[in-house]
Amino acid sequence: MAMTFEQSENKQFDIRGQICPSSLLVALREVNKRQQEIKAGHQHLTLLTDNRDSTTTIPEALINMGYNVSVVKEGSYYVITVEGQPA
Amino acid sequence: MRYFKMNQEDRQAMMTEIEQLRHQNTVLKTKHHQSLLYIRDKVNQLLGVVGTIPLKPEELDDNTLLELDPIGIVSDAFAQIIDHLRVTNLRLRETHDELQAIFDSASVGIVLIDPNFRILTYNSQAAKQIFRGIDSVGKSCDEGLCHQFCLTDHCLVSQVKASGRRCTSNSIVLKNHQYDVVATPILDNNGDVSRIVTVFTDITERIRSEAALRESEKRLRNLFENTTNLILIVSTNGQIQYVNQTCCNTLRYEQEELYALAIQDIIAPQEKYTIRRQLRMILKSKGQEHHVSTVLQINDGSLVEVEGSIGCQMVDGKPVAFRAILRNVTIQHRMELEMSRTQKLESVGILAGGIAHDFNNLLAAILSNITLARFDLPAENKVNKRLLEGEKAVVRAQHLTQQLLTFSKGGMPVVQDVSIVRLLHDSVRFSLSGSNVESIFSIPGNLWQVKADPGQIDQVIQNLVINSDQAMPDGGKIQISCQNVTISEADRVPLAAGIYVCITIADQGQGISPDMQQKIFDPYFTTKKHGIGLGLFTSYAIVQKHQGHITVQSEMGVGTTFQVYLPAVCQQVDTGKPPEETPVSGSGKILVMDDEEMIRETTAELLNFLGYQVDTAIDGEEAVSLYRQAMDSGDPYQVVIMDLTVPGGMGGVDTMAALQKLDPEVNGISTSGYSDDPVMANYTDYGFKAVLPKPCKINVMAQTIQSLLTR
Repeated sequence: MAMTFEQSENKQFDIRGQICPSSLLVALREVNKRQQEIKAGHQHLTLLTDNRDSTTTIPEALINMGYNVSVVKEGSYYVITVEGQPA
Repeated sequence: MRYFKMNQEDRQAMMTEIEQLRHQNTVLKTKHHQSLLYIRDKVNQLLGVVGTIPLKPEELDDNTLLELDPIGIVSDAFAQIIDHLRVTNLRLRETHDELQAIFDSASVGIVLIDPNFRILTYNSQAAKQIFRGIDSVGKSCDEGLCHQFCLTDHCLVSQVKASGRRCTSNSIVLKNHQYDVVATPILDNNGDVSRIVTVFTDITERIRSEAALRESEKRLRNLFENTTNLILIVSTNGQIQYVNQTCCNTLRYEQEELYALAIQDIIAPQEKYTIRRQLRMILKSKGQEHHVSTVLQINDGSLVEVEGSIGCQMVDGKPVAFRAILRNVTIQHRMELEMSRTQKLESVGILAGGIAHDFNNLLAAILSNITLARFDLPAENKVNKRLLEGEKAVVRAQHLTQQLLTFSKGGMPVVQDVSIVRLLHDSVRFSLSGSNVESIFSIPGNLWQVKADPGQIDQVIQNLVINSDQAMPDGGKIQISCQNVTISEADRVPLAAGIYVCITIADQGQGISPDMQQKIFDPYFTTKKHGIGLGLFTSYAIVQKHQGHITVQSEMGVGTTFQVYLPAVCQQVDTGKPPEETPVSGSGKILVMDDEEMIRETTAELLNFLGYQVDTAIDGEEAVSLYRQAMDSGDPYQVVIMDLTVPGGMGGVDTMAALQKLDPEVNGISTSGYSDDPVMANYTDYGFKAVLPKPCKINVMAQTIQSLLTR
């Protein structure tokens, strides 16, 4: 039974202060570690970043990898949410 | 520092060893550095592929770089990208197959064209319908598709190329088929038109159907507008939604004026309740057609009688609109009324005809005997006066019989060209004797004569004037006027085209209500306490038989006007001499033929009294024989009076024919108790020179014979 977004576990990573490409590498590393859980819908990731470039590079790479990604600005930083695509 | 003691040689060897190690270390460091550079380079290369900037050494030192393992991270990411691409490709393939199936099963023709006017591909429908099986992929669209179409300003591909937007046309004709075409651009990353999807919908059948529908609608509209029926569509709240031209013409409204009205606005007040109830019944019966007979009120306030059907159109069990198809039956109803009157007249006539002959013979005998008795007495004798009254009563009885006979089928008036001026004056004076009503005449000097039976017309005038008199119990005025009128085919009166004299009698009485006006000409219809209801009925019958017409117009409290039209002869009036009151004596031989002994004898006595020598015959054979003998003996009859009807013997008509063979100049007079006999009306057609009704006053008989003898 597929879990809803609200039901899935949220893993949050604060990568504020990091800039590309290291922020991208961290994001990729954390996604890679949990790819099964995220794709199964058991987990989703939220990345907090204050680097504007990262709001382009991270979503672009993750979308190519088959994830759903959204970016929301929260005051002085951005919240990038990563979840699996429904089959 | 402590130094090991070693010999020179060992030291030298160790130094060499150290030097080698240093060298190796340098080489290893160089290699390590080169490896790290390689790793950084590859990482940067991979990051470039992922779409980001290269790593900066100050951002990530070598140790952290190795610890982070970016190649591992990126290659993991790549593995996922490749997996995602595989899934995406799979989905793309599926989507492509789906689109291809849709493309090929579309009922419209779809052709993909590049900006250089090349046909890239097309679906099955286009292959079948537009390209007709000819492989056209790769051909230019002007060659394979529209055949020089692109040279014109209407080329959709050119339009799409120029505008970058979707373009449409519904007037493209290819191989006798008309298409509705939509051309949509597919844009590349630069926003330039890379391909154009053209969708061809064959609208040939639709255009044909639309034209057929328009034609059918035109035909139906034509039918609707040209029918003589009134067609209305009314909304369920009573608003008029559609009316045809006949409806407008009949109701004397413009179409727009009617659309502003409700059905109740055109229903006569007395019918509104009934119609409301009928409409409710139609709704109850789920719109079923109901027969309706009602009265509509037209723009000028007058009324039109209509009959037909009303139903209600229902959709999903709910009423949408009432539809009414009605026909104007006003004239038909009037004619039915007229016909019913005629039938009533005929039935009375049959009854009257049955007894008239015998009754007239009896009256003739009574009248002759009274007349003869009077001549035996001095004029001042009391008995003579009583006999005179008796004689008058017989004449009145004769008039009554006459009146009844006018209803019979034959009962033709014995018409002659007469002036009605004196007749009018006499009738009116007679009818108003002792009345407080004043008569005012207005008669032009050039009034034509009429073809009329004076006795019958006298009855008509008397009946009308007596009614007028009685309508004004407190006195008043009756206007009697005459005028010459010419009726043409276009006039809406039930009269043949020709010339007529119209006699108008107008009173100032209480008037006749519209309901009553329809009935006043019916037999036995009367509003008078002691009336028998034959006066206007008789008048109507008489005027009809004169080929004339009688009308009534009345307004309550204002008065009533009757108009009598009688066929005219274009000859001005004469003074109309009244018949002599004293019988004219004469001399000569007269032959009287009648099967009734009583009549033969009294007639002979009357004629003897007048100075004539009389012989009698009981039938035609005897009359002819006597006539021949008299001729042969050189002492012929001057006049022969013949009864028209001789049961079992030769009657007047055959006798007259036989006599004419003997003597073409014979003075024959026909006489009959059947004054409705057509021979009496058209006696000259049978060779008679005159007619004498039975009974007949002696002075009329004397004058008639005298007029023949003095010709």
